[in-house]
Amino acid sequence: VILNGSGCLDALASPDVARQLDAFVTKTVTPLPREGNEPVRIAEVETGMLNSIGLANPGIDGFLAETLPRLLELDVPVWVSVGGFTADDYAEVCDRLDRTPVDVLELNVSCPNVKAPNAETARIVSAARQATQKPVYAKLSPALPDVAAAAVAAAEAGAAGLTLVNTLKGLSLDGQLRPVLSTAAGGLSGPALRPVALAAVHACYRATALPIVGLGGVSTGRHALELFAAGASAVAIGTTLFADPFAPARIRAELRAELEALGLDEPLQARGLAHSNGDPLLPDQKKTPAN
Amino acid sequence: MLAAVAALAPGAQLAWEARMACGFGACYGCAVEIEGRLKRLCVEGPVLPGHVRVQTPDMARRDVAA
Repeated sequence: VILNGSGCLDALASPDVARQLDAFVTKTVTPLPREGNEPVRIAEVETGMLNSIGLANPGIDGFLAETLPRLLELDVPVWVSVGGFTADDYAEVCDRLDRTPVDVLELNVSCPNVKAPNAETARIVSAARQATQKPVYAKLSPALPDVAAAAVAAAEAGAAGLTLVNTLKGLSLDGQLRPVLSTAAGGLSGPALRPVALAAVHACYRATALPIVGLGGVSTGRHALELFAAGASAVAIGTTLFADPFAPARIRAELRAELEALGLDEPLQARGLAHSNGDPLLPDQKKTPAN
Repeated sequence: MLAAVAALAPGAQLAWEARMACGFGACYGCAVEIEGRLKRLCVEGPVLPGHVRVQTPDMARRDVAA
């Protein structure tokens, strides 16, 4: 139930980090190789970091020839993040991955700036579904006007699950009041994103019956627990991995302790607790332990 | 300065710098131009032989100012 956020871990460079995970999510793969954006690509801000990597990746040919065979040797389930600029791009990459042992295809659908984002999300999910038998997850932007409506659109188009959330757009200025990043704005991740992710997971849990991978600023077991309570069925760790590559094992242990304190055996029992009204589902905190 | 050192001492080993989020090849944040291609400085370097051509954003900005 603990994954990494796409682009936050290179399992080949850090196999021991990847082995802590229940599944490894790759950096986004596009049809053609991409060198990525000009530097500067990252900036530190008070509440996290900005990035503007520009989907640097070897392209689907390079991924299938060089990367995937070595990833499969790690013996960790592999999810591939799929990207593109048109629905056909997504379909092409999904088609090429259909006959590989990959577990899940996660569509990096983050189009808050198009005119009809929900329809566009549905179009991409539907194109991917027609290209592959594999489960397709839609990774949504928290900047969507109504993320739950986009989730419903994705579900109706055949998505098997949701990944919530991608980054928000942010800007950082240097001493000369110029943008630090070469692209000016970039994706904001880290602690700032955590309440945003919780809100998105909470809204989408109510709106759909899909499994949800929650991510955004998770750095402790309590953070993971909150995402489960809001409605996640798995959590992913992103920016935290940069500072603490062994965070997944630590967070797993902390989560287990959090669950034990609530009298729960496994994370899924905490799923949706934030939605319960009336009857207290949690043990009474004030109750003196029986002995 | 590193470019000047390389000109004076082609055999020198130069330690380059770029903003790094992870420092172990995961994030692609520290990519700079190495021999004309954008590559991750943390895994390709950060120490490179003096004859390797490196272009960092800081150098580019100084060129514009000059």
